Amino acid sequence: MTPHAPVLRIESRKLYASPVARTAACAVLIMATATSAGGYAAAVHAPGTDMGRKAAAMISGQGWSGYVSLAALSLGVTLLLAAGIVAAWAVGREFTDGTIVGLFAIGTSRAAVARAKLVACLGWGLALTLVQSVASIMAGIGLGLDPAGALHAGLTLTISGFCLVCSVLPIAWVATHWRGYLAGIGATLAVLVATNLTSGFGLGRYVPWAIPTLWASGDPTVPAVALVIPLAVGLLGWCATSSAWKRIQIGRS
Amino acid sequence: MTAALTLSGIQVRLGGCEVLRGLDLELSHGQIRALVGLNGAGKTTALRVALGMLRPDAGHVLLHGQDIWPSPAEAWCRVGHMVETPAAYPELTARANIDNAIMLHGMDPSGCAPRVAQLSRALGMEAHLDQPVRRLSLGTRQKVGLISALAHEPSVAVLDEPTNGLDPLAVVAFRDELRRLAGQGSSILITSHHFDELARVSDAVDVLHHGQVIATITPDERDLEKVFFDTVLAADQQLQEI
Repeated sequence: MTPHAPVLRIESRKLYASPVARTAACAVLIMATATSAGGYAAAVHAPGTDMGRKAAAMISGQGWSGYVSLAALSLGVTLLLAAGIVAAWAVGREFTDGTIVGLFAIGTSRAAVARAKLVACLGWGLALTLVQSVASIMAGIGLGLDPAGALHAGLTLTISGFCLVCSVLPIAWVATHWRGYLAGIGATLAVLVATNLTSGFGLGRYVPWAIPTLWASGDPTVPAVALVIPLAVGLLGWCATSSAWKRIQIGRS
Repeated sequence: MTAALTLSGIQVRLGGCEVLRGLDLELSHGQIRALVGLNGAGKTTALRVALGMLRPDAGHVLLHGQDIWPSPAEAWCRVGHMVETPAAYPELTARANIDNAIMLHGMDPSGCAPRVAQLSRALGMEAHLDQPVRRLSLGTRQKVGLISALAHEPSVAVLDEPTNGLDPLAVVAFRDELRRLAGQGSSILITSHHFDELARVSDAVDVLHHGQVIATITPDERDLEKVFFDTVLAADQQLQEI
């Protein structure tokens, strides 16, 4: 099941050189850090303002737990969108740009190419999650939170982010099935909207893409074991994409 | 001796339309064979079938005597191809794209470096190797696709309209390269609409019409273009009479 090393190197090189992956990473870093740090600062230091009142409604309290709940929410929304777009693009571009023909009649199976793409996306997502967690923690310390709780907070954000990245792998299957990244991007937006709506109605604990954020926010209805659900969704996406690539034909859907 | 590539009795239906109707084609070792036909004759579909991109509804494709459905990926290591568009990624440099193609064929780019240098020199690509493909012209992208297809010295090369967008110098160099490869025993299947070019480079020209090879022309001294149109018109007349 492991992709051959050269294919993984090729797919990683393609992904990391792409403006899509770079822009998405920058957007997550800037938006997640700004909203979590800015929101927490407003809630704690300016509770009387409009923004302060709105931010206070989103956090579970003061200290690291409150800060992490806000950071997890920011990370959840931005990372779900960014990782979905990157997964859709990494796979769907081969169809949209017509480069898929170069992945036939080669000494590497197409299933191995697909798995290499997914591993590259997971690697990108994990790296981004780690950097974002560090950035959030540094911002938290800068806001006066006790450094003693920083490690636990960072780990919580990292685990939550990685589970989210895994959970978007079915997007790669969507981009494969509908032969292009637009379908994958559409599916990502649909997932994002559905996740937000269901979470708003208090049903987030049943939605794989909401579970990591709710767990990181300390929602008592979402225990750590529930993180298996987004991971399972990711595994399903992995298998479906790999299998779809094995059966791809050009000119016949 | 088994042929390098054999298509026998290939039938393909796409969207209710019969695109290939019992196509037979054999590519011998060291042969340059061309496939010509009007738009919609089935050339691209034939190449897709030959490269395992499309599974035929009936018939067999044999690569060095081995059925390609199903075939292990290793069987494709010595095949080079450029079909439809050059599969080059715009964010990577031309060199990175070529190296990727070499690696995907299970070979080491450093081992193929002299060959890449030789092809680049011949096609006038040297100055562009380290530029991102997005900055290259259409013709230069075509060169990237050709070098990617030929850098690993394939035993079978399938090239769709290979001279599209190439400057005259590159066309001559490419023709010499094909002859050199064929001289070493490589088999080459090409399509083109440039009859002069085909007459100069190919050993045999198959006329594909309505999904079938209706004639095979040996270029020699004959006016390829005239023979092609005479053959196609005769086939259409025959069809009308039926």
